[in-house]
Amino acid sequence: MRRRFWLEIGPLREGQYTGISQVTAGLAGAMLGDATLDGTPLDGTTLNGAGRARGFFFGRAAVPARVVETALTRGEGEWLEFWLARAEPVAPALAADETAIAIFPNVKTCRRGFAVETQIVHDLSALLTPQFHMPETVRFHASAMAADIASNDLTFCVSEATRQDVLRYLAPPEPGRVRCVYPGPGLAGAVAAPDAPVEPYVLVLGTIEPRKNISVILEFLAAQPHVLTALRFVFLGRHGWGEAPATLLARHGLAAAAEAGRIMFPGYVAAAARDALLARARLMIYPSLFEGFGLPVLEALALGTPVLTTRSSSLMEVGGTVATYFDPFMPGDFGRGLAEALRETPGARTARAAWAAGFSWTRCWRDMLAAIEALPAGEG
Amino acid sequence: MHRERPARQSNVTKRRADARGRVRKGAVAEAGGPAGWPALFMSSTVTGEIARHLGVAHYSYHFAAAKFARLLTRHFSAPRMLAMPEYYAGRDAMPEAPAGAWTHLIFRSTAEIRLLKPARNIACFAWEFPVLKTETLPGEHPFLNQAAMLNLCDEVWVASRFAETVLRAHGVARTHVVPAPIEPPAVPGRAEALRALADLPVTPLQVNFAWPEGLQDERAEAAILSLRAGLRALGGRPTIFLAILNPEDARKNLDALVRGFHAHRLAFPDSVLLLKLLRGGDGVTLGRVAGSIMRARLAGGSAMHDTGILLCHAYLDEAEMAALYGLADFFVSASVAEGQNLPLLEAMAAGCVAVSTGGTAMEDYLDESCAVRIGARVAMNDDPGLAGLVAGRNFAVARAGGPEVAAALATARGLSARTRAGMAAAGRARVAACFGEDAVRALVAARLGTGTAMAAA
Repeated sequence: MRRRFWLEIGPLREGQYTGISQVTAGLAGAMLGDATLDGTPLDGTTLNGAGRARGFFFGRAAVPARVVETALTRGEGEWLEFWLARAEPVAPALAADETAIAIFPNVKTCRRGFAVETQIVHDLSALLTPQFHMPETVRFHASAMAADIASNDLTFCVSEATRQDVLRYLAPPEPGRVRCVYPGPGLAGAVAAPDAPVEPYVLVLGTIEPRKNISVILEFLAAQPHVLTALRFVFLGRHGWGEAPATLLARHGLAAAAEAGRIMFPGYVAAAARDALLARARLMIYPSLFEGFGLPVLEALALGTPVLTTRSSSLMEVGGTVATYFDPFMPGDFGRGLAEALRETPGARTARAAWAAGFSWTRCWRDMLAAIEALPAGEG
Repeated sequence: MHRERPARQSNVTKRRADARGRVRKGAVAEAGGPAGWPALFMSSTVTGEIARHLGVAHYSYHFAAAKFARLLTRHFSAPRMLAMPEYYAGRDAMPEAPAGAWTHLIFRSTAEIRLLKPARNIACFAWEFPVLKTETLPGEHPFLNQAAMLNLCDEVWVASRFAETVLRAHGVARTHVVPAPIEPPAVPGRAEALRALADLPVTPLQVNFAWPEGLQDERAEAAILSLRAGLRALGGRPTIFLAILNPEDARKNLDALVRGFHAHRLAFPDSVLLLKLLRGGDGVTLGRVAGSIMRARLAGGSAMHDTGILLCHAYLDEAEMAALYGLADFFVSASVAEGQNLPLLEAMAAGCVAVSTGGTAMEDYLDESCAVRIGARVAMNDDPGLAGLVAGRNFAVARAGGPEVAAALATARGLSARTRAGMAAAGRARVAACFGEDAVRALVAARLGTGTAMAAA
C-alpha cells in the first residue's frame, strides 16, 4: 500500500506570501524537492521504493505539481487563484491502493475526508489574545480550532510554545499526537552583497497591527529623537488593521521625522527586495507581543543580521542565544535592548547564521514525515 | 428649591488623577519576598485606570485583586501585576523574576483566564449562581466553557461556601473558599464625613418614561446640586441609607430597591437613600447615569421624582469612601445574588447596619444579630440580564420586590438606638472573623503552603 501525502494549498492563494502562506510555500517547496516522493500523475504506476507519493489540493480540486511550482516561483497567489477558478472540480483521487494523508497548513477545509489527517497549528493567538484580532477572525478560529484538532491524527505546532498552548487550553484527547516541528526561513534566494555602502538603518519587519507592537519603538524615538540622526528606521510591512502609519506617527509626534525621511513606512515589498533590505540592515527589530513562531526573526538571523525582539511566547525558541531581547512591559527596557543589540561583536554574524541553519524546510518536512510514518500501523 | 452647584467640578478630575497614580504604583510592584513563600504574580481583567472601568463587565475583579495585593504585600511578598500572562512561555522569559516556586493569582472572568505557564495558577473566581457552563457546543468558542477554563488552573479560590458547593457540583473539584480580605475603613464622625463630602455632586431621582432620552439626561444634569445642599433641603437630621451599585448590573435588583425606598418615604419622609452609582466609560456624566441609564433599569410607569433619593457618580478615593460610610446609618442591598458583596462588607466593617437580602454569599455572614433581612421569594429567573444565564440553563433565584424592601427599611427605622449599636458591633465582629486580615491571611497561608509543598515534591 503506497501513501500519498496531500498538501492543502489554500493559503497559497494569498496575494503576498507572509506568515501562514509562507509556511505553506516552504512546505510545498520541501515536498517538491523530496526525491523520496513520487510525483507521477494521480494514475501513475511508477513509484519509488519508499512507496510515497505527493499531491496538492484545494477544495475539491487536485492541483498539479507544475501549477504549485509556478505559484512558488511567482511568490504570490493571484495567478494561482486565476488557475483555480478554471480548474475542473476533481475530488482528490483517493485511489484504492493508496493511503491518503492530508496535511492542512491552516484551518481544515474538511474533517475525516482522508484516511489520515494532519494539521499545522501556528498559534492560539485568536483565542488567547483576541484584543489583537478583528472579531470575525476570533469567531472564525474559535469555532473551528478545537474540533479541528480533535479530528486530527497528528497536530503539528510550529513551536513548543504553541504546542504547550494547544495542550493546556484545548486539551486534545491524545497529547502524544501533538508535535512540535519548526519551520524554515522563507528567503527568496541568495542575497547579493551591496554594491555601495548604505546609510545605516534599522528594519522593523512585520504587518502593521497592534499585536506587532511597533508603538514601543515609536515611543522610544519620540523620547530619544537624537537616535534618528544616526539611524534611519524603516517599518517594512503592509498595514493590517488598527492605527495606520500616519496616525501612529502623528500620535507620537514623529510626523516631522517621517517627513524628513528618518522614519519610513514603505509598505509591503516583494520577497527579494525585502531580503536585500534585511541583509543590509544594521539591526532588525521584532517587538511582537505574541507569536506562534516568528519567521522574520529566523530570516534575519539566517542572513546574519542582528535581531532585537521580545521574550514573548515562541520568540526565544527562534532567537536562542544569538538574538537580543527586551521586555516590552518594562519602561525603558527597549532603549537598553537597542543599545545592546547595536554593539556587534566579532564572529556574531557567523554565529547567527549558524544558529539559523538549524531551521530548514527540509528538516521540517523530514520531521513531519517521520512523525506520520511512526503512526500505528493502519494509520500512517 | 435652593440648589447649590458643586463648588469645583475639577475635584473629581483630581481624584481620578490621584487614582491613576495609585494604580500605576501598584502595577510595578515586584515579585519576591520572604523565603519560604512562592514568588507571586497577579493578572486582572481591568488594568490601568479603574475609574474609567467602573461598572463595565467584570470590573469588581479589580477591587478584589487590589485587596489581595495589599494583604499579600504585607504578609507574603509583593505580587507583580502581569498585563499578559500568556506572553511568558517559560521562566527564561522573565529572567529578573526570583528563583523558586511561582504562583499566579488570576482575577478574571473564566473566558479571560490566561495561564502563567511556569507557575502554579490559581483562579480567584467570583460566582453567585447555582449553575455553571460545563459543555462546549459545536462551533462555540471553547473558552466559554466555564468549568473547563477553571479546570485549566491548579486550583480555584472562591469567596463563599455557596460558590464552592456550586463549582464542586459542576466538576471543579479543586475549589477552596478564600475570600477577599476586608479592611475596616478609617471612618470619620458624621459631621466630619459631611464636611469631607459636602461638595459631592448629587442629583435627586427624577425619571419620566415619557421623556426622550436626551431630555431625561438634561433634566438629571440640570438638577445637580451638592450633597450638603441636597441634605439641607430635606431639613433636620435625615436617616441615611447608603447603597453602592452598578445600575446596569441586573443582580442588584435596582427597581425593587428604588421603588421600595420610594414607598418607604411615604411613612418616613426623613429617610434618605444615597445611591452611589458605579458606571465608568468615556463621556458618561452624572446626568446620563442618573437619567437614561438609571431609567433603563427601572420597570415602566409614568414618572418617579423623589428628592430623598440622591444619586451620585463621582469616583471616590479610599478616604472619601470611608466618609461615605461614616455618613450612613444603614447600608441597603436588595441583590438577587452576590459573589461576596464587597461594598456591603466594607459598610459593615465601618459600622453601618446591613439591610439586605440573604442567600448566595451573604448566607456566610448575615444573620439577625447583625442585619435586617429583606424577604425574598424564590422563583425561576426571568431576568435576561443575569450573568448566570451563560451556563445555558435557567435557574431559580430569591428575588425581593419593592414591598419587601419597604418592609425591611421600616423595620430598620424601628430599631432602638441600643439595638442598632449592638447590630453594628456584631456586624463589625462578623466581618473581622470571616474576612479580616488575620482570617484571610491564615487561609492564604494554608493554600500557598500547600502549593509550595506540592512544587517541592
